[in-house]
Amino acid sequence: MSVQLEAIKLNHNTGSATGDAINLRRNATQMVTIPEWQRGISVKPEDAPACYAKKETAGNTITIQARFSRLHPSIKTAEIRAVDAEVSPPGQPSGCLGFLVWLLKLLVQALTGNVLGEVKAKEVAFNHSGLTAFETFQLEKVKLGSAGIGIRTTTWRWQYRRKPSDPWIDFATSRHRIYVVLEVPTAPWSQAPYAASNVSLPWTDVLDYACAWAVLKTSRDAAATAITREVFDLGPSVITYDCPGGGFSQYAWGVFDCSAFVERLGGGTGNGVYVNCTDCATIVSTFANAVGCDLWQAEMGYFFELNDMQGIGSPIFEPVCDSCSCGWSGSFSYHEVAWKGAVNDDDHVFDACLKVDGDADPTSAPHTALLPTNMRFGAPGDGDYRDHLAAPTGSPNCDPQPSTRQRRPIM
Amino acid sequence: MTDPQRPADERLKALAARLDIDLEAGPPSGDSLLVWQFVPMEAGLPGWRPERVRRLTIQDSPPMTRSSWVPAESSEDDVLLMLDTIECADAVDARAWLLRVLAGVQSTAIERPARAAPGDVAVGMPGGGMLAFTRANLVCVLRNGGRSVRPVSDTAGALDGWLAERPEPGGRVPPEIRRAEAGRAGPDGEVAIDIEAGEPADRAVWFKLVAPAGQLRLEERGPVYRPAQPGRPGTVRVYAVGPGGSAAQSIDIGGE
Repeated sequence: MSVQLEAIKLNHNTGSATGDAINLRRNATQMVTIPEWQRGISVKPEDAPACYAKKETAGNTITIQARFSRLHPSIKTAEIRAVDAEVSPPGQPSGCLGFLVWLLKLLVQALTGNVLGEVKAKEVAFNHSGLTAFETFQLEKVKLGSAGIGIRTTTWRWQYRRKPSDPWIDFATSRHRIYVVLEVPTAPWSQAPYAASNVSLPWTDVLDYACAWAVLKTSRDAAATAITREVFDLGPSVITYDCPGGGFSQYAWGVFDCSAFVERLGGGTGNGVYVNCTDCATIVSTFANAVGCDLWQAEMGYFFELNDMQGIGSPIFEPVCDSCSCGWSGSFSYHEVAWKGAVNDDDHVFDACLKVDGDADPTSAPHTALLPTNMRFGAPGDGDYRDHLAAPTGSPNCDPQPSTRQRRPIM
Repeated sequence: MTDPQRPADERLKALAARLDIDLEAGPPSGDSLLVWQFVPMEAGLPGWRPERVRRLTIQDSPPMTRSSWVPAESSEDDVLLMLDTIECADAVDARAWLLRVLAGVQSTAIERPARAAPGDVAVGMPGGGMLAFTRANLVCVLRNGGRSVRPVSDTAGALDGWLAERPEPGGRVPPEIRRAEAGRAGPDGEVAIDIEAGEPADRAVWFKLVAPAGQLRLEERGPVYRPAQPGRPGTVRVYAVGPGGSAAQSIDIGGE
């Protein structure tokens, strides 16, 4: 091989996300280093992660930067490109089998396939020490616009030729884990300052879950709905409602202990198995906002009686915590959910903490379990979220509390 | 946007009234106690061993620790004790922070324990699954983190006893107090207390300060002693508590 791939920057402009990847870190303690891909260091796709925002990149040419070295001093310049290494070779089976194979590949492509397309050929020049500058390359056949949220793998086969009449010669392969989100993550996530001290840069440890939970979704509401369902479905194996502690926040008192929650998701202890409404609201809104949603955490209340419900992790409908012998049941001092908008009666909520009785009479059995996703909060008697959650006697005390609207910082 | 740790005053007042917590009350009677740079240790939670202890820095909040504990000797799965501590300025401030903590509890059943409650003020769940109390300037919250639920009241009592006791200096590997001095009195008579201690294995050490007269308070610059009357002499007893023992030293604070 006469040419070597040294490094690739997918996020080469940390001040913008319109033509390249967004700023990322792995978790509270580790940054994603740039260049993301480095020869001899990056082996697996997750070694070279990058995240693209569909909205901000729409209609723009995506570029990357790459640096090369030559092994023979005779090479002064070379034309370099990268092709999609996963593109199907010709000669597929025909007939029914061929159709099934095509369908399967289409599905795999939709879920995990390359969305960055290919690297357009460009001539680069080597300096006296045999290195190129970080050369900017345009991407072509990019599919970010049509892709949904997801975690994809891009595998590029890098090729060079010394003059246009030469055949292309393979000289390197690079693999990248590509996160696709709807928009640049909203608060509590931030893009600036791009510094190791900024723990609010979006975490790949969070995107690993959020993008999987909202896979293929192309709208904020659909993504937030999917994430709310996935969080509720973490019960009872990963988290469950904190009946013994009276519904005490274990992960989101003051700030979101995201590190502990991610640890819990990964099978570790975290802050334990119990969560309350504040935890669920914070998890949903923080993970949804990581993929570009625009949710808030806010309370409703205070001190109101409840209809029967199915708390996260509970298999049954009951007055809250009735079966746990924990000494409480039937009312909340407050409740907190993920909200869209300004936190008023007309705004919509996502509640991963509990399922309400979704039928026309939520005050009595039989119960029709309904996970509140994108549900209008409503005024008493409107038949919306408030009436499904709060008993008729409690509904007037279950008011939205817009002054509590917040996005808890992450740690 | 509101500060997450500061629910609306009206709500806190209502909660205080419901729980019979007097926010206007002064410091507890008796010696003034101040806890500084607190780190939970096995000696304070008998029967438990730490799984993880973290110091948390939360903007606009006093220093916190969050720790998880598993049974020291049994191999029971899924028993986990969670302990949060908040190091406030003084006992009055601790009561206010206790209320802010309790404002994050959804249950309407939290109550003041009827008997043998630890601390200056304690609030818990009737089933014993959670208990929060203040001792001097420290807020302690104990709760279950595992599916096998254990009442936390006995552990809370032991922790409170450890916080309140005046330990005999000594132990297997006691810390060493390298400096314990009173600064110059300010115009209002307040005196900053300068303390430094080390531990042979360089492990964490925390301090408790006891003043039989006057009041102790924690400020950004560290512990501060305010005499009962400006210029009146006083004594502050400083205890350094480490995993292997404790040390003590008295500071005489001279009058005018």
